Amino acid sequence: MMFSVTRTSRVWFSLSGLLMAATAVVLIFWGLNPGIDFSGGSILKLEGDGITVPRMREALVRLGESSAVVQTTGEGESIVRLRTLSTEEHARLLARLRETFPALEETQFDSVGPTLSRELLRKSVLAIILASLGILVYLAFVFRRTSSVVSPWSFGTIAVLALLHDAFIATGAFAVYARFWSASADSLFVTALLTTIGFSVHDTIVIFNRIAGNMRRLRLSFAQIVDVSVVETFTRSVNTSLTTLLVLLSLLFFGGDTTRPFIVALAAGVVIGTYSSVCVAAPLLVRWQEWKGRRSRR
Amino acid sequence: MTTKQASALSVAGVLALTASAVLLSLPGGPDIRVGTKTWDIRLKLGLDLLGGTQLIYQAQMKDIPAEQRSDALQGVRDVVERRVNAFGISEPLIQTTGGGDGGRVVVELAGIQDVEQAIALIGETPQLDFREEAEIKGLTNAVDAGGIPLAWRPTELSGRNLRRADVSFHAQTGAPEVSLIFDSDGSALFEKITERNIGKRIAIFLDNTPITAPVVQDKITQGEAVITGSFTLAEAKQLVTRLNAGALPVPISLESRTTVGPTLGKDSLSKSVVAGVVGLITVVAYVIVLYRLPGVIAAFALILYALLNLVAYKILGVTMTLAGVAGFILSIGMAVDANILIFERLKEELRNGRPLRQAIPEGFREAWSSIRDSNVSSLITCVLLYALGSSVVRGFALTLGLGILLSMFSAVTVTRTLLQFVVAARSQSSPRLFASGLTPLSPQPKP
Repeated sequence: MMFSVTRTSRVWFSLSGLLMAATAVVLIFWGLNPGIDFSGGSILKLEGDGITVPRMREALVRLGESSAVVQTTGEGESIVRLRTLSTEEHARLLARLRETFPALEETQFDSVGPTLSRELLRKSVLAIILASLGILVYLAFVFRRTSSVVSPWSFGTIAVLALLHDAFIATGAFAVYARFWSASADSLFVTALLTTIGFSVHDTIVIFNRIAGNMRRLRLSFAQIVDVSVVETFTRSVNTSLTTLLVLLSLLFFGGDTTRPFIVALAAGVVIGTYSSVCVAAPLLVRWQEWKGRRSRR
Repeated sequence: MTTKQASALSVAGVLALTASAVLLSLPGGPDIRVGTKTWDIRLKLGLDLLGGTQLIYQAQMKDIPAEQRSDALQGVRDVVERRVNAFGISEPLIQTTGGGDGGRVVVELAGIQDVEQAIALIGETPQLDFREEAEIKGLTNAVDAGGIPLAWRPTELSGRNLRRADVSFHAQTGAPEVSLIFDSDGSALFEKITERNIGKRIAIFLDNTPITAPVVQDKITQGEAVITGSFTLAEAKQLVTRLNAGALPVPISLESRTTVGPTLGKDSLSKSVVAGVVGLITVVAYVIVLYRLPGVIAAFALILYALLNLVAYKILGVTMTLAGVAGFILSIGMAVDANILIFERLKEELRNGRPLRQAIPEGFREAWSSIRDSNVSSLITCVLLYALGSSVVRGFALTLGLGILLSMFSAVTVTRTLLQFVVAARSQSSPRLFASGLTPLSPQPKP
């Protein structure tokens, strides 16, 4: 018996529901650790004898920096995260810290001001919204000839719903990773999200394209056409995702540490994107049609 | 010519393209010479691969009227550039961007060691002042090689008093000149200064460097002056921009600073290269196992594709960052996708009983609409990323977008050419060579 995506759709919808609920829980309780790109602030990397997390934190609080967060990396380095510091404030802070820790050495200092970071956040959200709209319109145009059975807007809508679903769950996956491997969500993370959106749609379009083609060729119910199309494109979907994942895995193992969170986010996006295109978008399209049919019959 | 000859010609074209791509992408490769211009094509590396600092300055332009803002920003940029050059850093990158209250200047300094000193020097507001000739005790009329006096005494006249500078043209000769307009305090001061310096020079200093030292012809009372001299139009415009930059109060504040240590940079670079090569090899192996003979063709096309990307980066002067490398490596995956779409279609046509010679063009035709539509949506994302993102994001969007465009070219042109050539060359090609190595033929759906 052929694998029917529409008949097993309840499984997939439950799975997606579960994943989205898990993401919501993770985001509410753990939050997404925003990098200074988005929250503004400064990061200092400090080294030296006698620096421990509690001592550093105590010294900072004494100097009036009560919102400071201190962590250690494995290699005897402490990472201090503070509010934005001007050049003078930074110099003063270092001087005062050196009174407590004479061997203090600063290996890095990054600082991003509040206006810049607010703007970046705004632009990132805007990019996600515009990308979704652009894709919606483009798909409606591409599938315009299917309007007799399925409205072209349906294809676009389902594709956008699928991509939002992917972006959401990918964010949750990243939040989990960030929590355990202390990564922060910076502009690279947003890039990964947008790429996930692009890929997810890429995958979904191939399947929808097939559905549209089969609608012209086969005399079956819409649900059956969707099933057939999914089976026909399954090999291709899997192969493409596998090759992309192979490439990402090589980056993960052989690439440097700085891009690791970025690659993890991309890999999660590719996996979820493929899953959503095959198991969620296709049956959702069928349900959507049925729901619209029921509405118009009332 | 026959189909065989046409195919052979196309293949020759592909091979020629490959050869030039290999040549151009080699690190020590030749530069392109067009007439007298030499195009230096080295791959430009970003800060996160070289190590260095990025500083973003915000120009505070709340008090500046809108028409003067872009000039002011340009002036700020020029001043910053001069200050940075004083450090002797190789190839600093200084750009202006919009945003904030009037504009920002982004400074990227590769490999710099003393960030604090650089920041201290850059951060000052441009200083404009006017000086008159002074006498050094013991040396009268000390001049340098150009006949310009070496000793100057500061006057009270400074950039605060200059209302505006403009480019104008001499009424008779049409030569470019620079006209200065002072405010009321400035006019009074200027009158006194010119009165006592007739026949001598007054120097205009920007950031303590003399930019021009005209000879005073006459006492000037209306608070306007014209600097005549042998200016080209470009020199006059540049002087005016600098004067206005010095004249307008444009404080700049440091909005953001980020650094990458040099060892981390080099480390990341070598690791990214290794990852890229490993990724490419893995994909090539996978594709050959999966698609046999077409797989070999696809593998060749993929390698050519990777080289074409490198050449494109060099020619377009793309700055490679870590995110850019990730974009390129990711686009390899997408390039494979186009080939996979074509081959899956090809397999289907063969399964439906079409002879090989017809299956190939049919396969391409059917696959093309899928390739085009899915790649366009990815391109939409890339365009948005480029327009709205920070410089890191832009690098990624650029390499990914370039990769997508080149992959469409490579799959449809290179792959198709080679496939057609192979089929034309061997009159009986067994369809078995085109079958998949791993996945079995799936059952036909009942019509």
